[in-house]
Amino acid sequence: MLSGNLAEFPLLRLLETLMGAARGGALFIEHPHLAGCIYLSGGLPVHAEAGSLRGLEALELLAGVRSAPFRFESETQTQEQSIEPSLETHQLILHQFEAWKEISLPDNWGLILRGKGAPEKTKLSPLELAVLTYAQGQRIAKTLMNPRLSPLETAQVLSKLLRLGLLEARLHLEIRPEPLVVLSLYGGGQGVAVIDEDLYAQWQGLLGGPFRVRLRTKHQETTLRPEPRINMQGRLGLFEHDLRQLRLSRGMPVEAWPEAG
Amino acid sequence: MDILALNDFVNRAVYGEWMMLVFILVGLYLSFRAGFPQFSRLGIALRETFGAIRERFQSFGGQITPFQAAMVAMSATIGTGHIIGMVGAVLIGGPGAVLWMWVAYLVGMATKFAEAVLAVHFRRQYTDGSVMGGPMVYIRYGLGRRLAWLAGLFALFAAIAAFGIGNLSQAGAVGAAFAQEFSVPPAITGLLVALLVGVLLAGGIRLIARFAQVVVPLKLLLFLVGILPLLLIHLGDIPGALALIVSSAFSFQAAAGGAAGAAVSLGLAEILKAGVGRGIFANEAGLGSAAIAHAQAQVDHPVRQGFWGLTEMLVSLGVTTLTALTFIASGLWQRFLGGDRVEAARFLFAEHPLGVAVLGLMLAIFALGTMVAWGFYGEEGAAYLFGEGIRWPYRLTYVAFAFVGPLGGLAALTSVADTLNGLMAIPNLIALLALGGLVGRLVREFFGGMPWQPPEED
Repeated sequence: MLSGNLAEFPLLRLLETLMGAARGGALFIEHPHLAGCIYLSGGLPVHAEAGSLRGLEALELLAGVRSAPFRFESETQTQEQSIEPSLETHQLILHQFEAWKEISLPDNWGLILRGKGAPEKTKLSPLELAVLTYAQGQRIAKTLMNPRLSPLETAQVLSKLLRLGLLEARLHLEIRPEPLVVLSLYGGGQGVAVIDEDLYAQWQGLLGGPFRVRLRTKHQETTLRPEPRINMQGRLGLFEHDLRQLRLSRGMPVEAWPEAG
Repeated sequence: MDILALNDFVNRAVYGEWMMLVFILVGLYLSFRAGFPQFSRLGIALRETFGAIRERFQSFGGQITPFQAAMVAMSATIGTGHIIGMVGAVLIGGPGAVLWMWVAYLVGMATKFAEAVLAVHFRRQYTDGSVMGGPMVYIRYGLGRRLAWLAGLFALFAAIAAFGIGNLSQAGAVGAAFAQEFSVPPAITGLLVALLVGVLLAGGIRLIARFAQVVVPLKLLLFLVGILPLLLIHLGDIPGALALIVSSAFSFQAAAGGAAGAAVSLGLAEILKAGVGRGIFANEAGLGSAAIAHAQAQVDHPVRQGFWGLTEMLVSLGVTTLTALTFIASGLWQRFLGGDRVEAARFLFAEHPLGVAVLGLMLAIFALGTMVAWGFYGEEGAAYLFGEGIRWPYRLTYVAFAFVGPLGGLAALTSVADTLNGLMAIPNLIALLALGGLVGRLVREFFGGMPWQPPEED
């Protein structure tokens, strides 16, 4: 069994090696966000799967993976044939790999895409706007499996949107909402969520920079500016104005979590 | 002049008219500096305390919750003086004394508020999460090193006074109540009381707070069970009692009063002294004792704990007022005017469907709660003076006194401790006067939405 990482052994070289040896079997690509497999027969790809994609589209997507563990199992075969083993197909595969070289996407396809800036100020084609909308809050890997576009086309648009600063790719953090109890604060402040200084430091550390507090009440969600204070463990301080607006009162349970920004 | 004569002299001074005037003036000054919180912030105070009662077990990360701290303070404050003492005040000053008691309570609310605020503001927090606070700490860190001796004096008075007001008097009351109403031998009562107090003090503030959060509601429940049937019996006389409180507030002449049937005439000074005296000493506002408990509460801002101080006073006022109203409405005050207050209280509760035993049980529970809380106050005072090592020796001595209390005797020591209890007010009132401006600033900051900045450690 052959195994390694695409970061050290790129997929194109791997396929050429297997092709040269006329090997048959299954090449599993174990990307954390994109499980894929290329089936070979006599050294030529006959079937490929990548997430929800099949055939040449799956192969096109896998061609863009730059770093992921892989393993080749010569005993594993498939009855499916979604790729025609021909010279044209071979040429097409080579073209796909070449096209990916022109695309600049983060290597980590687990990053989450979020809209940034004002898209209305930039002239975007309907296709680009569609990708921008589709990408919101999705991982790069999931976005590349856009059912309306080929992976390469999507990657090209994504690359442009990231370059223009209309999208940003951020690490996805599993931050559980913190159950807190509302505490009333007096004075003229508004739009502020007062939290304990330790929780503030913890959230700031997790996000690695400034953040806002997302607050979920029984009826709605809102975003507030965080302010750290001492001795606020388990509490979320809200000024009277916000209490009225959010229809909250002292002692009510809420959930809060940080959001980058 | 021997020691006891000197003690009598000082005792008369610290519980005398001039000292009462000082209490009232300090209360008025603090009311002014804090913006009369007992009136202007009463709604907020009620929302922050009774309104937040469902959060009573939620602390802000500290050892005990703000509610528990208030319960410890109330456990000490609401003692036998709220019943027997109140009856006594009416017997000395007539029904009009109640009006002056109300006035003293209203003024004292600001004092208690300020004490709680300063206690939290200046408290010291240690790495294990424990806290030390109270007048000795706000005197030391609020007034500076030069007046550290004043802080030491307060701590000394508190540590010794606890054996009198907090221990011997209360244990004596429990012993007497159990012997009289339930025929329990004083030695047995002493043993049980000492055991209970010992276990609770050994558990530290967390266990004391847990006890207080049970015993204070129990005290109030027992009080209501005790007083409401009497109030209902005399319901028709309540309007008359209220009218009498107002009409006899300035001068009073009993048509055919007096314990021996002689006519009684009381001037304003006597009525004032009886009423204001009860309004000051029943609730401990100005003595500084409750501040030791309030300091333990973990809150985001000292002013928030101040509201518990205000509410504590309201509860205390409710208990004394209901006692006084019932007693006046019963008409027994005329029969006992100038006479024995315990006997008068027994006669009042003799009308209760459950009999005088209710009074006995009530007094016993009131006294037990007071004993435990005062044990903590005294221990904190001793620990401030002598360090952590004194805690166990102090506790053991306190427990020994709790055993001796029901057996009687030690009258001289009780009297000296009573004087020291009164003397606690002097360093505390000096500090409250000096730090009144800071209380005002903290109140303004709190209502301006500003965060609390604890003072720098020195």
